[in-house]
Amino acid sequence: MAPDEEQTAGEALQEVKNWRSRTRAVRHGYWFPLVMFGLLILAAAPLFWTKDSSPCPHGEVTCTFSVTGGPLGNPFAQSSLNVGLGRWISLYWVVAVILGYVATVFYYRHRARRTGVAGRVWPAVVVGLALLGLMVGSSDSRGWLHAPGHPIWGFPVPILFFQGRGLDPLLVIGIGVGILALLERTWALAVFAAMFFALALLANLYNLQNQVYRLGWHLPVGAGDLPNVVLPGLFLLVGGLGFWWADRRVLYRMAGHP
Amino acid sequence: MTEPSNSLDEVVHQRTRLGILTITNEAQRVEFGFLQETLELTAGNLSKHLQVLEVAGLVGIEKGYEARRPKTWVSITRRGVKALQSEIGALKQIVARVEKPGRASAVSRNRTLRLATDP
Repeated sequence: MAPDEEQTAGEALQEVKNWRSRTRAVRHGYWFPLVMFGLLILAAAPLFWTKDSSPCPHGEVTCTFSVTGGPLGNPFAQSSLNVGLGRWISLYWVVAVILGYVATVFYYRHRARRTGVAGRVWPAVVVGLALLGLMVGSSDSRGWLHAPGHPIWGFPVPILFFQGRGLDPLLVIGIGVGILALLERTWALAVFAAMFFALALLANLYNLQNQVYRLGWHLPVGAGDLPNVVLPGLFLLVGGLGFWWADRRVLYRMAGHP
Repeated sequence: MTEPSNSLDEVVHQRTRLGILTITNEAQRVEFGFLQETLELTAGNLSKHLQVLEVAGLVGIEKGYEARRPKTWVSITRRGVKALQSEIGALKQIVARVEKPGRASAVSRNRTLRLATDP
């Protein structure tokens, strides 16, 4: 451009808008945590497959092939709703959520090195991991923070979340995705995060098997809890793949292809 | 009434520097090469502008190595964010004045904003 070229304020603002959208397009890497967490949730499904194997080792009504005990106790599956869910579920969630967030940090660092634009992801990771820690810490089985004297179903009400169906970590993941949407400043992800959070809430409060049954699909014995795990997992995975496809297209166009 | 153009900061009110602030405001930090490519500048020219912004306290510059290659990362400071917001606010005010029917004077309707492209 020639020196002293005059631009109107409108043109300057248009240029600001172009720079901004280009940087955002290069920065957006949020498809990765969606795919990662989607796969991690789906990988949890076998742990929710209960089987009739009488007698159960500890006298439960139904039992899984999971073992009981362990350093974490069973913070995510201790209510009467989930008689028989093994302690592997809690251990799995803790490992999976940490793995998901750590992988997200590494992916964002890798993307920053490749593109030259480093997105903000730490606040989402810190809040997600802090919530997970609080959730485990507040559980009845650890007994660190649980509210005293609120007996429901014979055990104290934990301060945080539901701790019933073994799906509380979906809420941690949903909150993390919501914060990521704020950091990434994208409405599409914000709407998606809100939808996922609603689905995670539903999966924690309602037996989705009922709806599956109404659709005429009869799940095998022991698979009753699977829709509550598989549907949120699939939702994240498909959404993540959709965002990945959109990301590819934007970067392809920016590279000068039609 | 204060003219919106009076609130334009000379350091920020320059095409390249406005671009640097806009881009760095969108990320935790941005690599020198990305700025150079996006703003279509030579390395020397970009360095001069970065120096101006760094001296004014509007950006921070971090130098290091990645895979044995020297890398320069640029991040916006809080002061830089405020300066950028103020600049964009002033630009929007000017546009609003020009676009407002009936109230805009002939002068302001045709008013152009000189946004220098040289340092």
